[in-house]
Amino acid sequence: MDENALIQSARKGDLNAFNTLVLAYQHQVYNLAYRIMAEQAAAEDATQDTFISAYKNLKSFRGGSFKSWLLRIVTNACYDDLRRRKRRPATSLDEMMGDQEGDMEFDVPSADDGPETVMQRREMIDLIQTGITTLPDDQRITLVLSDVQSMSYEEIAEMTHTNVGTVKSRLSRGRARLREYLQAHGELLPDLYRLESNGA
Amino acid sequence: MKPINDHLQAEELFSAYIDNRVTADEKSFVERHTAVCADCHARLQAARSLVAALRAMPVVKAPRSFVLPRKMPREMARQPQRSILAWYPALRLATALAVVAFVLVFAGDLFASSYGSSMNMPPAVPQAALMAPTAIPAMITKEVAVAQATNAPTPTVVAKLMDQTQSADATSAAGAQLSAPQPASALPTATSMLPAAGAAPASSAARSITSTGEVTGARASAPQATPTTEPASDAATAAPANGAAPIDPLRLIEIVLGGLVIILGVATLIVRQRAA
Repeated sequence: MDENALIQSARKGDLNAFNTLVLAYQHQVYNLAYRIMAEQAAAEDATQDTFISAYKNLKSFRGGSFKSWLLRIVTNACYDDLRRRKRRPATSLDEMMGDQEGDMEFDVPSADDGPETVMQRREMIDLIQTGITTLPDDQRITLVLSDVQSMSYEEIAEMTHTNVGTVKSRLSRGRARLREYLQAHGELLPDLYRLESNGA
Repeated sequence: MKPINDHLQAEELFSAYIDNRVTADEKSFVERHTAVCADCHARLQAARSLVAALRAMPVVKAPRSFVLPRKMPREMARQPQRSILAWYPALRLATALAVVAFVLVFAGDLFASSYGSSMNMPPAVPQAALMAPTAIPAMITKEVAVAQATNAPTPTVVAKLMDQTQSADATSAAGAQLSAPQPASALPTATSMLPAAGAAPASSAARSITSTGEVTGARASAPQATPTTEPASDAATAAPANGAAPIDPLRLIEIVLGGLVIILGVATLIVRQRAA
């Protein structure tokens, strides 16, 4: 059954059809939530809220890309959560435990890589993920949507209710800031992944 | 050595350059600059490496299935929190608007009252002069009513008085005609000025006066010569209107807006607390 037929069935209340869509997109939705929130529990909550909200508001879906619609919902859920956290900062259990559980779910890029290379990549990914969390919310979300989700400037502008110029500016500042963070913590990176600015 | 502005400008364009979202001019500027500036060239390479590393980040698999169950548990549908959060911006805007409206109305009221007090002074005299033709008979009637009320005539005395007035001369008829058009409005005013205990004598006095008017030919006022109870009730309704000044509509709006500001402010604070 194609996606449109599933959406039409789900609109009529067919939960099985909707759950087929959930299974198709849950990894992408969770991945975006995890990259923005950098915390497993928060990412799970955002993902769960996204699918519940999508099911309840399926009638407001006006066609187009269902994936983009879901990613927009999860982005808004993350925005809301980040705003709530700012008003009421709290340290989660995941943060206290270093969120190792979430990292265990990573797809290892290549089976041909040796264990040392895999370990180095993981360190690099951890450092980038930590660096992302240091960015302001707008820059963080724009950077994740662009560089992790590979979305176009236009898609990001629509998703974040802004214009292409603002997206360009946020992305530029976000990348520059993240680069500075990685360079400041360069000693933690393996030589292969250092982002040297002196002609390396 | 390149001007410092060139380095900054080039660095600002790196991100868009990597994504191929620069104009032809910008593209050639970045390429020309990085060709001669080793430092900026290295920065561009670092930016490229970062974007490549971000794009190579693996997809984090969902740790569990998010398939919706047939019957969704209550804690899964955390709609109230979401809906409360959705109300917050609207409430905040409404509060701000109410405050602005209140301040504007209040300032307008202050302005009007400060100007109004000086503007109303001169017309006060002409108004009094305009009111004189009607006010004087009313005052006369009032004085008569008060005088007769203090004498407290009994019904028998009033009957005698009526007999006497049947043979009244033309001068008294003219006087009655002067006061005749006004009894309905003048009497409540007169009786309203009396203490509650004196209401009955006052109404009897009113009857005697209107009877006088009726006998002396003021037929038009005859239907208004009502039983003793009616002027008393008129007096009761007229008393608050004359005693307490009517509420200024502007003041009423101020009170309503003030209440609205308080209610909206409290609601906004509650929603903010719950949403946090």
